[in-house]
Amino acid sequence: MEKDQMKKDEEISAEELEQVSGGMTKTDLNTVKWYKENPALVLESLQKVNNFDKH
Amino acid sequence: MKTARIIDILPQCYSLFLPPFFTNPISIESAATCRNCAMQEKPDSHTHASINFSSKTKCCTYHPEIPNYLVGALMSSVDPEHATGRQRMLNRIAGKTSISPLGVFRPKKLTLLTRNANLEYFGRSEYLRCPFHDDEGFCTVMPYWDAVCSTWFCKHDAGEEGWRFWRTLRTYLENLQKILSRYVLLKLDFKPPLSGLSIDASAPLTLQELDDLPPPEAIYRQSWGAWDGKETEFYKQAYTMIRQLSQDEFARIEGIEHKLLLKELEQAYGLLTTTTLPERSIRNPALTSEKISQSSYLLSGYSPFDPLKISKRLYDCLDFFDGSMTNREVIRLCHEQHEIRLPEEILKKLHRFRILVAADETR
Repeated sequence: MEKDQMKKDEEISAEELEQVSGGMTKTDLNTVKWYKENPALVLESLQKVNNFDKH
Repeated sequence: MKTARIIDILPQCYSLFLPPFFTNPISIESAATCRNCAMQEKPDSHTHASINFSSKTKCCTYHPEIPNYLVGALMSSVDPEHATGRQRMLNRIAGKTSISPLGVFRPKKLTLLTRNANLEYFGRSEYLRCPFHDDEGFCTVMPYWDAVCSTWFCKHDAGEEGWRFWRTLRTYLENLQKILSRYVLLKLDFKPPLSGLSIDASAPLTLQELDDLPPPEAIYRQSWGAWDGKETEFYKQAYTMIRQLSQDEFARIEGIEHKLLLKELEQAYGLLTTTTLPERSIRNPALTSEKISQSSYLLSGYSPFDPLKISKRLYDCLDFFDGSMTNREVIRLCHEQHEIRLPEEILKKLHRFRILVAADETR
């Protein structure tokens, strides 16, 4: 008997949707917005002080 | 589920003056296991072709922007665990590259590289590995790192709401770093004046920046003023000032924008701590799915770094969520016609991970 059939009329359990290690395989990474992109808020102004020769 | 107060996961120098909101509890992200990196390929990985991070970099292909007072906190620490971090920071200060009275920054060259690189660099490029990351894969300056390092996790127990909360906290902390690092300069009556902050950062790289060399001596001296040669002492002084800041003084200097960022943070926290189900749901049209065995699928609804492995019978149930029936009707249909019972907690998790979305979200 198939495992799925055996489970019929059972409640879906937490084990049937679990977080796993690693990521997806098919994703085009350039569409990902969830990485540590450089902070926009402070980066520019912090670096400005580093460039006093650019007056 | 392990929890901590928000304030307890941040550098201790914030504890005296951040608003009472920061005493709220937050769950520790249990799936983002940094010590045993959840994104490294493992023998029991669901597939050997998935997005994985290199063991040499983990997610630390990011150079932090450490504000002056946190550099000072690190340099003032007597914890032996920070000995390596302190030495690396000392070397950085002695090298005079990408440092200023505002803090220790990412070299501009690295910013240009990351902005122009295919994102496959993230978690993999050894060239872009953080200089404070050690060969055992650990951070040598934690918790004196920056807003991004404090708030980035590859996986979130609460799915998108978790990501959204940490991302909002990051914005709050970035602005906090900006306010406090400038407050230090103002209080110390820093010379040269702050007009240096208005210089155009989009200017081309200098020869020194290209070759990882310190700026010309005259320019370096100009930027440090009387503190030239006493940079470490300056950073320590900055830390002393910030850790003595009172709630009243902070409220006086933080400004309107920061007060608004706190409102946003409170809102994100509210969404994180309450999950309400919509009346009707549909399968997320942007869902990425992969069949990984005869009985299971891998689904990614909000982040390709944080997929859910789900059973085939649950996967098959997703087709019933097409917006034509209410969630209650779908649950009844699954039970009566397919002998599958869908608990509300499972539906909530499907929503948190954006496997399902509200039917009206896509209209």
